[in-house]
Amino acid sequence: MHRLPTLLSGIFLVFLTSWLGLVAYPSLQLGRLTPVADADNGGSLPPTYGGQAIAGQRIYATEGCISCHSQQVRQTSITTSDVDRGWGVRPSVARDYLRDSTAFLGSRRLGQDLSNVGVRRPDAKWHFIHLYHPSTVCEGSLMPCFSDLFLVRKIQGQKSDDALNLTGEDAPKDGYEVIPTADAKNLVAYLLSLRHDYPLPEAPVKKNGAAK
Amino acid sequence: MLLRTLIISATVLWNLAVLLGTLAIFAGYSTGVEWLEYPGWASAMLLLSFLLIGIWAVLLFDRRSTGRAEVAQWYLVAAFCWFPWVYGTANLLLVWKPIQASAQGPIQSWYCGSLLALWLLPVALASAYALLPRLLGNHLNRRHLATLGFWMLLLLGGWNGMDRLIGGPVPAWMTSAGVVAGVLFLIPLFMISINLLGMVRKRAIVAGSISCRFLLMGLYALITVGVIGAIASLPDVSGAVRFTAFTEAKTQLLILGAISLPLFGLLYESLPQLLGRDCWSPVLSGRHYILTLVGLGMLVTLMLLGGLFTGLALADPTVSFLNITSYSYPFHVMECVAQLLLLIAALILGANITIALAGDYLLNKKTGK
Repeated sequence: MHRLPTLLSGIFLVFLTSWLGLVAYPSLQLGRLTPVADADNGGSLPPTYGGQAIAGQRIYATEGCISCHSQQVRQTSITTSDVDRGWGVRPSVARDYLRDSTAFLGSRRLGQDLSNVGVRRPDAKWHFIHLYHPSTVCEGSLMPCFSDLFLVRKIQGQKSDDALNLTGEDAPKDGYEVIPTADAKNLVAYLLSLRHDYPLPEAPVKKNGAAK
Repeated sequence: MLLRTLIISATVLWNLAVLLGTLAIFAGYSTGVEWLEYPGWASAMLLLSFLLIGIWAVLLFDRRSTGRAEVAQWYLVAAFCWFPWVYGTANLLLVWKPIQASAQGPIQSWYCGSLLALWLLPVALASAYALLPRLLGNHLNRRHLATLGFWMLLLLGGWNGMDRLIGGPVPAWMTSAGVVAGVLFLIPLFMISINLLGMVRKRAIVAGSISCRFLLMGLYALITVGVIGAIASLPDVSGAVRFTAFTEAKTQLLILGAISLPLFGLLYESLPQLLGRDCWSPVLSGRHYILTLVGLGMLVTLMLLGGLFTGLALADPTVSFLNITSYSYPFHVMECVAQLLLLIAALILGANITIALAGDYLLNKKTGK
């Protein structure tokens, strides 16, 4: 029925449609989005990441955070629950990911959406304890402990400023302290920088429309 | 001889890449891109190995070609063209030389959709189209249905993945394309399944052949995948169940059902032919079949139900997230049990293959070959 040349050219042409639409078009259009000026402070939006946060993206990738966490607030025309839950004051748009090395969009929400975790949880100490043992600060959380990102070491002289304030079963033995490694600090710096509460031309933020 | 060397080196390279890539993920070198977690060098090895397989396939096709391709061959030719294209593009733009992340979303979805619908699924369908006529002793009727199904699968397969981004940070028309492709994808899946199931005349033949049973179950799984996919792509439904186990159930059923089951059928049919004798233990084969179906059925049902409950709860912002987590926990535990059944089934298959090959080795030794 099909001769090979006919078959091959058919396959090529048909496949080209989705490739043009979903690979070539986004590369040319979305791939060339540029930051916009921030009217408030003369900076640019989305804001650039600091050095620690850039390093933290790698940890986010290698620890597999994407298996359970998404980073996208959906359009309110599809569902209002993302905004209503306080996961963001406005839906995510392509420009929000401009500064990322990888767009960690995610496809499961075994944990909460993280696109605005820096707004919801601005305290680094909270993140360290949460990463070390999630259910101490979030009862019933399914998140595994990332204690590998921490060091237990003997207190030398004075207790370190970085030492985690742990109580109960998590508390280290007397004379020992739990401190975050550089990886943990970078990861938390990245998490804290996840805030998309600024307006963009294509995604305005309503005044007083803050998350419930 | 050249063909033999080519395919053996490709196989060794492929398995080496899978081993090293997996170890690299454990060692902390995951890329964090869904379904492209292997570090860049491992995916480059996979692609290289595949190019060798591709050259081998073209040479083989050239030697055997009768000038007119059969339906199974269309699917194989298509799959072999697509894989390097899909895998190469995705690795280039997402791993090797990542494009600005604002453009990565559609490319990720395109890759995930295409990998399943345009690479793995066509390979599985090729085995169904190749084996079923012979196993059932029947000709493939309605070839126009086969033709139409094939081209529609091709056309929609690439767009199908966009249902992973409904409501996401992409231009609105892409969301719409995802909805349309997700719903329309049901049509080629139905056409292909009806086309193939139309060959079944005598139930007794089906019952007597393990290979045939696997192939047919794969087709039923394919129809179910189409229905679940179409429902999950509807904007209202997607708004509720996206990010839950519901959409994951579709993916699992596609991979473990519609793709794996026909490939099991191919394995059960081809190994005896390669060895030139009946090599399977009927007891083990039967156990493998039952456990696979029970495990898969249980897994998908639980994921659909759990996903639906979670989705409805998520849609109500007054229910706290941790509350939802505690409700969905029993589902996760039961899903683990279902996965365990599938693991046991896989171990049984492994044992069956080992016995078959070991038996061959012993037989050769005895006859002094």
